[in-house]
Amino acid sequence: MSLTAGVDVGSLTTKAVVVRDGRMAGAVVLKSGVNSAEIAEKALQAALEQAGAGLESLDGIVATGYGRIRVPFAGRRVTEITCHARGIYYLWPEVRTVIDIGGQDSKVILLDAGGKVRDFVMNEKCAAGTGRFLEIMAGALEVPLEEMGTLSRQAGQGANITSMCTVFAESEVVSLVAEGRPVAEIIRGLHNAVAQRVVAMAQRLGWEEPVAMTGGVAKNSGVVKSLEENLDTSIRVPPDPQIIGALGAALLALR
Amino acid sequence: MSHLMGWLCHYTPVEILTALGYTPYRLLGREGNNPRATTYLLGNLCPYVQSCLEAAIRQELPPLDGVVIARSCNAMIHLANVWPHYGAGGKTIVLDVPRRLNEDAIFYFSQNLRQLAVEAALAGQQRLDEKRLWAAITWWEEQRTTWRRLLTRRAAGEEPPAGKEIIEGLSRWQTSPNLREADKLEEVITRPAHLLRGKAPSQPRLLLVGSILPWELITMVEECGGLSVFEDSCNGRRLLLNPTTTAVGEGDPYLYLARLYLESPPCPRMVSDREKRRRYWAAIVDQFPIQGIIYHVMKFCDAALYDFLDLKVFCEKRELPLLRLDGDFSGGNRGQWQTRLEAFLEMLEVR
Repeated sequence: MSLTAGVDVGSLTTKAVVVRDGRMAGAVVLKSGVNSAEIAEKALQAALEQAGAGLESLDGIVATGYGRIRVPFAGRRVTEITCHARGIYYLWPEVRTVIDIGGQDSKVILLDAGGKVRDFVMNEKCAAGTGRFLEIMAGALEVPLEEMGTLSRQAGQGANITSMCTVFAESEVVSLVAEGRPVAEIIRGLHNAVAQRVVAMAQRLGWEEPVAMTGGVAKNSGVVKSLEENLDTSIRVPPDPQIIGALGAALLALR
Repeated sequence: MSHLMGWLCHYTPVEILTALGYTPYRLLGREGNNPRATTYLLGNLCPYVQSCLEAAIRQELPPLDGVVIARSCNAMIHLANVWPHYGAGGKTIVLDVPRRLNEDAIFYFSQNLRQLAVEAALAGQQRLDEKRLWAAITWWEEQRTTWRRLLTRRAAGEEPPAGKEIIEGLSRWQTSPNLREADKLEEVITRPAHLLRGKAPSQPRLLLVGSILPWELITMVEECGGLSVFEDSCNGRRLLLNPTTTAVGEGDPYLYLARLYLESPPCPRMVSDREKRRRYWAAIVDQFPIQGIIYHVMKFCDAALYDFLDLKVFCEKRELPLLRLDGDFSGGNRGQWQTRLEAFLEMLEVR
């Protein structure tokens, strides 16, 4: 029997997954805080509880994500690019492109037939096209982040958001609200803006079908729809896209 | 105290400055923001050029008799315009560098070099004697040969001095006020040679490309587990120029220098010399068993961006992994680069 864990410390959430004999046995998502080590430990303990196991029975722990270097109990640290690739390969080995949009970065990863990373591209030093961008816009619109997807799907068309800079886009949103533009249309416009940004990255990389999406933003069905429209393809989204990095990390800990 | 003459672009023939009695002093820029320089230069101009002006305004440079600014790119032209007013004082000498390589360009550049020798001459100095210039050419060539010999060890499968040590050594070599003192020279050039460690490690062997490479990047690449074995940049191997077929000491020294500088591995600005650049990359990849390439694109550098597109095609043909990193020479790019570098190295390790 083998028991391994992956801990993904992101900028907004910390995820832990426990894998027993190659199958997921526990998964937890917590809000990240200033003390990454503490949150990572809490997430791991909770995932182990779900799996009915103790820390001492783990054969390996891999940390990933933005805060991976702050997980003192990890045996190894692997980037989220490799981990998301591994996690998606476990679910759908035929997938060739992974789009991961997290709290502070977005990335497109190309996989080979063996699930290895062939190439990747990440967003520039800018919040545009990330979860944080949507979070700030949700605040400006006074809409709960979780409802943005549902709301945008109600809009017949999207407002034109011309600026990708988070600060300028926010003032553009405020102006659109003042003009009386329906909130649903503004949100759809924001989703299109995020999608266009990510699609430009995917095209630069030479994306290939099938495509899967991971990361917290994949829970927003409006962004997924905009990406599908812009790429003219369907996108597979795992049941819990947020934990794929941690799942990949737990699988890599098997080595 | 030596007369220091500042220079920026690697197309500046330091031999002429040495022959005139100056110690050439390269302006290598500075880390941090450039709030004072952006008062006089547009914010969307080369961060390296901005940082050189910033260093001058902040009086961080040693006393210079002047500076030679090669008109090699748009940013340098802007710098040449503002330097006499806001720079470090002394002479501002502008050197026009051709963008193509043919016999006309070599002749044109040799005439510009002749003019440089006149404009840079110290007060009361007579016309530069050709013997003196040949002596300076020989002296610089001897040093470059020593460097080239050392750096070629990186191709031999031995563990070379780290890229960080090499780039630090090259930087000291370009900025040492007492370079002509034998003990200083010994310290600067031969020190990295003592750092040869024997058998090569199994780390991925990387080629780093860029206009001017920040130390920060080379350090990070090696901290993350890569081995920088060749730096194709104007503060790296490109600085060492290729020897010409013309014998030293024969004919017109200005023509010799023009050929030496223009025929050497081209900088991305030499837009009509793309094929030569491709051949240069191919030779490096083969000679220094390169497993992956990292391109540092200096923010706002159009020449580097076009060069990157060419390198991308080259890498696709050779099936070589390529990573592009954008940077602004500020020293504040670590956070952005870390994950990209580590992921790239993970990608290389599983290949």
